[in-house]
Amino acid sequence: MNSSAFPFTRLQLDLVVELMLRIELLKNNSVYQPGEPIVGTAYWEFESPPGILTVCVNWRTEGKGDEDFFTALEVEWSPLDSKGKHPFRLLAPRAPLSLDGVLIRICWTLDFSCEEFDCECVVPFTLSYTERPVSLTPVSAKLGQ
Amino acid sequence: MNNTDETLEEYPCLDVPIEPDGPDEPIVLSSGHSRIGMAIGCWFFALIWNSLTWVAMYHSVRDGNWFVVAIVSLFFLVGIAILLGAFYATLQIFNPRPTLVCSQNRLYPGIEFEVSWTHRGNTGSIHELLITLEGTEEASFKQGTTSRTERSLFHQQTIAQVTERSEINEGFRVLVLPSDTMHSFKSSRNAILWVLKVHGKIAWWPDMNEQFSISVYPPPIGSGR
Repeated sequence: MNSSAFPFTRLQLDLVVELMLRIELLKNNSVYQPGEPIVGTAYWEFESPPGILTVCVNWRTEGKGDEDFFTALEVEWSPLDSKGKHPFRLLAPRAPLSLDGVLIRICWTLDFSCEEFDCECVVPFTLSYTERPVSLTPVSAKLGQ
Repeated sequence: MNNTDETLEEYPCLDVPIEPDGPDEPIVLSSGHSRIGMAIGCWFFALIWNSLTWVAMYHSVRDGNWFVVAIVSLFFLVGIAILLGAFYATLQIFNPRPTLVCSQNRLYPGIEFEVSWTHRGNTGSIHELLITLEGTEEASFKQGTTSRTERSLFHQQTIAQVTERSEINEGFRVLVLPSDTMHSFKSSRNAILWVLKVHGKIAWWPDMNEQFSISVYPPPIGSGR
């Protein structure tokens, strides 16, 4: 790509690229039970074929501790067209369940990424049997109630 | 749509316990630490600390540097505390050793199970036995050049608090894990830990303290828990 001929700054380019990857999920509330199919469609639009596109199901920790990150599922394909869509169906992993603790949060995301153009689209979801992440309250707070 | 074939990779997550193969049988829990190892560690640390402190004290007194003597005296007091700790750990070796048995190996949130206890050694000195189930969040993080760990207790359940001699010797309780709680989890810097703690109160002697890790598995797929 000839940068002088390209009409965007780097920041604008990032914003434009963000719009070039998109995920639509069949389910509205983004809550999945373990084993439930995560069904959706990945859309992309670039100037040229983007090489390898990847949809990953990841979890990462947030909170007081340093971050841990793990990819549970990964599906990839190489489109021959610069623009298109790709339906996917992935089974939600069994664990770890989404967690909202005092020190630790476990957050699940669907990451749709393109290495060639260095961009990604991240869609958070909840892995739970109860619509909400498992919530942990400190014993000291329970005693104070 | 004009795509090449997609490839799907599934990676096993080792941070979450997975049930062992085979039937669900009672399991004898093992204690997390060795008392003899703990005592040896304490004595070793006490030896190193006190040797260095005594050498520093000797040289500072010989040189008549009283400011240094005052500073070293603080380390000297700490050394005495470490020696007392080593002595305490040594006495704990002679405490009775509890054995806990879980009625089943596969523990899930919401499940009911039985815990039974016996002891090896003389339990005559224990006048109260307390067994608790605890769930703890544990997060490790870098702070400057050091690594720190913080803990938050989110579940504490008294299983047994007994003073009867026969029941201190052996007994059992049925307990239920909360259904809305978190399964065990251990990544490199974050963990959800479940332990059974046994505390035996002994007069004029170090108390008996043991803890036993248990694995709480994530609910099986399709269980709807």
